[in-house]
Amino acid sequence: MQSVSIIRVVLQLGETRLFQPHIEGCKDMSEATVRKPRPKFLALNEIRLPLPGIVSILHRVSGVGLFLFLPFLLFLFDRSLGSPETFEVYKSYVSNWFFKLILFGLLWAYLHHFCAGIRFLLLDLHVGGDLEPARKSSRIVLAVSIALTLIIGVMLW
Amino acid sequence: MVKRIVVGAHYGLRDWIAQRATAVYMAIFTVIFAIAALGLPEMSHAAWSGLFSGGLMRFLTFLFFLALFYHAWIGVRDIFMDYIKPTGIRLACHAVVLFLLIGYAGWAAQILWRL
Repeated sequence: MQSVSIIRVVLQLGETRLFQPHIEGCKDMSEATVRKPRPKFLALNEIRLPLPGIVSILHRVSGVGLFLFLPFLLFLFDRSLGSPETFEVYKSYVSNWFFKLILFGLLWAYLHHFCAGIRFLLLDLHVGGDLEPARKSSRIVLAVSIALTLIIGVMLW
Repeated sequence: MVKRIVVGAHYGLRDWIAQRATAVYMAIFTVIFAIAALGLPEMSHAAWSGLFSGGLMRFLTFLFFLALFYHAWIGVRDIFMDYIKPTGIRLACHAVVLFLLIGYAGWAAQILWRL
């Protein structure tokens, strides 16, 4: 799976062309990896992520956030469906400003994960893999997920 | 001809496809749910639980949860594989997440079939 995420990063950066000479240059991939260890540059404070990279890392961050809050969401779902009494418990939770703020964050996480996920599915189908479309679609993902969060968030608030 | 030694358990492609299949199902369900929820006359217990008490919606919702937990398993496992190198700690984390998600699936079934 690590290789898949590497492929995804390459696709997102739209720099497939940059990598191809390297692949074409060596007929034997296994020999190539032995001969030439790939360079690593992992100074996180110095890396300036391009827009598609930001969408990608936010996809991961939002996924982790949603996973960590699964018990909380299931608890709310449970209370909301239990009985008219537990529904009141649910309502008292979601009317608390602190939980509202958390739910607002989770709403953004869901919508970002949703929009970025559709973008990744399209990239898998080789749609928009070039540099310019990849940048444009990441801008769209960021904007649409924030806009939808504001619209739905205000509707539910 | 590429000469390479193929190793591994070969679950990568299966999970790669499963991650995408569950994503597509969840995306479709999200739209169905959003439309159904917008169509609710009011946000009351009767209307809200009525939404999930129909056989089809209950089935689709439970399927959504199963897709979500499978999807979460693949995603979280990938993150552990990226960041946690000591095998023992990694396996322990895998086990904890797996047990949690199986527990969540039971919880979701209980929530939906109690209606």
